[in-house]
Amino acid sequence: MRRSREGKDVMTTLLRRIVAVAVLLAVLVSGGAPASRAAEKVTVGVGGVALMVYLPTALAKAKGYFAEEGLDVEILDIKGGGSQAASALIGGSVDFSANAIDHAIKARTRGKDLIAVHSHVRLPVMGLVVANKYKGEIKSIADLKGRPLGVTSPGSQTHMVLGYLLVKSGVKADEVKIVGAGGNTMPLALEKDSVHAGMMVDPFFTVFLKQGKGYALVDMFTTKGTVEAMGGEVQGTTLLTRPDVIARRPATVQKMVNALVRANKLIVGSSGEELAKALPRELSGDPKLYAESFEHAREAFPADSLVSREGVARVIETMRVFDVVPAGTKIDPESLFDNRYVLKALGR
Amino acid sequence: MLATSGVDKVSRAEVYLWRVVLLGAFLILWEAATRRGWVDPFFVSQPTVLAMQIADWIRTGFIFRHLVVTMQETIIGFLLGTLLGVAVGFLFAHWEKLARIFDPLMVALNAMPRVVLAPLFILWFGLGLLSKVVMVVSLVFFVVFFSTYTGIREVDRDLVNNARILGASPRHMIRHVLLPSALTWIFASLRTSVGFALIGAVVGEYLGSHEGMGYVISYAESMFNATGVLAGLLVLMAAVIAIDIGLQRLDARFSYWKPVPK
Repeated sequence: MRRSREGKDVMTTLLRRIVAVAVLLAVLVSGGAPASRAAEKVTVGVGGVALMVYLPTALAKAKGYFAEEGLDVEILDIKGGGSQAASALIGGSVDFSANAIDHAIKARTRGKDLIAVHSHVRLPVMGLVVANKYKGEIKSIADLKGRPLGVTSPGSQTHMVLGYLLVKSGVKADEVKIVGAGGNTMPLALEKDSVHAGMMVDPFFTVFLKQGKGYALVDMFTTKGTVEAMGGEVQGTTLLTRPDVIARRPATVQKMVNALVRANKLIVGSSGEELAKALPRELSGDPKLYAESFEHAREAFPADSLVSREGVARVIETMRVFDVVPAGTKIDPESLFDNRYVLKALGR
Repeated sequence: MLATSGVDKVSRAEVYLWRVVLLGAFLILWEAATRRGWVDPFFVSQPTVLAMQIADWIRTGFIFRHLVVTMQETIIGFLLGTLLGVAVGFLFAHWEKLARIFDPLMVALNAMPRVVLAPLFILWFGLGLLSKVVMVVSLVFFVVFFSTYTGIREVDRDLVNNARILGASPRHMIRHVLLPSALTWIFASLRTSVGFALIGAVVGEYLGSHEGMGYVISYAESMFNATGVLAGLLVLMAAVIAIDIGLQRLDARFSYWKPVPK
């Protein structure tokens, strides 16, 4: 009996101490962050935040635009690329994702709705690069027939766009070998001859060309190159969210879009050097190189931030090539985006 | 005691019955849960849809092309890894000094998470067969090596001494004493390492390839196609079970080698 009472006493003392420490901590923490209205927490999934196509989100965060809207935005850089970021959005782990519109289309074919509320870029921002070794042999897309070709990962946007380019040039999808070679490992795959040509994103595209290791067969960083290759506009990366987020937190969506519209305006009016300086070092990498690759992709950033209906419709068409959007399935481009928030932010 | 074998037979039938009942109940529950909307089939698919997907893959022959590639990588890597593991295990068990010198290295190498190394393997050995085989070997080798090493060290000392007294040459010793005793250990490790071998091949394909089950699964995943991912996994599971049954048969065939325990 006595023993157990002693044990009890020890327990109470211990408990008291824990409570005391907890109270102390609480006081300290609240003292550290005085009265200011708690910012609303928002999470954004991104598959590789350093990539050029995610610049609006990265910049809005770096310049404090989200904070000025009263949002505490946490960018979750999700390993595994855009598909994983979109999965996180569908699964409810994040509130938004900066994602190619492709993911909203794929989700739709499986009965899930994702809505694009802001356009990060209005071009694919990728290029088809051929290793120098094949300079004499590969002069057009039709020459790619029967060769191993690299995409960042199977089913990604690079895969879909490449498929579309091939079919447009009369090469059937099963007449080439599509290799999932990874975004950052694509240069090596080309050098090692694992693939003869590959879809490249920046900064790898700019670096590879600069090093003189290959040449661009298709350059979709510019409007001209995109229109030539694809026949018109192609909607690129957007800010996606779920209908339930729009329904429950419309004000938050508006604030997100406000900050991103501001970011796009800044991008359009800035030089590459200025942008590289505005970004944290871990995102800009080599500032000179970043500035260079930005100047190359400058036209991709829309001053008005509006999602393009024609661009979305064309992406849907690219996805019919591999039956990602089955032949019988109709998807209304209008149902995939909502420009109201951007229009409001623009004051229109 | 006399009835033991009879009881065994009954319980075996019972075990099978239970397996079937549990599996059936699980599938029915799964199907019902998705049909009634308790869980979203977007995330977990549906047994009937899965079955249709696999049937479709088999009918079109689509899955065999990829399964053959994966199995090729698995089996080549598995055989090489096993051979290497047994050889080095033998060497180390036989040559104490070697074992003592390399012990920390082996432990360190084994502790390395090789799945994380996979992208490097792909850089070093390309996107084809070789990188996957290396990946498989790196996984299988250590399992087999440690088992062989232990197996030979654990051989009954009396047996070894008796054989020596009876005038067994080193070659006889290996063939009639060491190898048979270690074989139980080696076979036990083989069943474990088959699973590892498949993991190695699939992870390799998942990260960079143009064919194979890892490619199929990775593609389905990027299409938000839970059915494709699960169907791919089911096919792999079936393949592992098939290999495991084969190994068990092999083990039974070799088990007469086992020395009778004291």
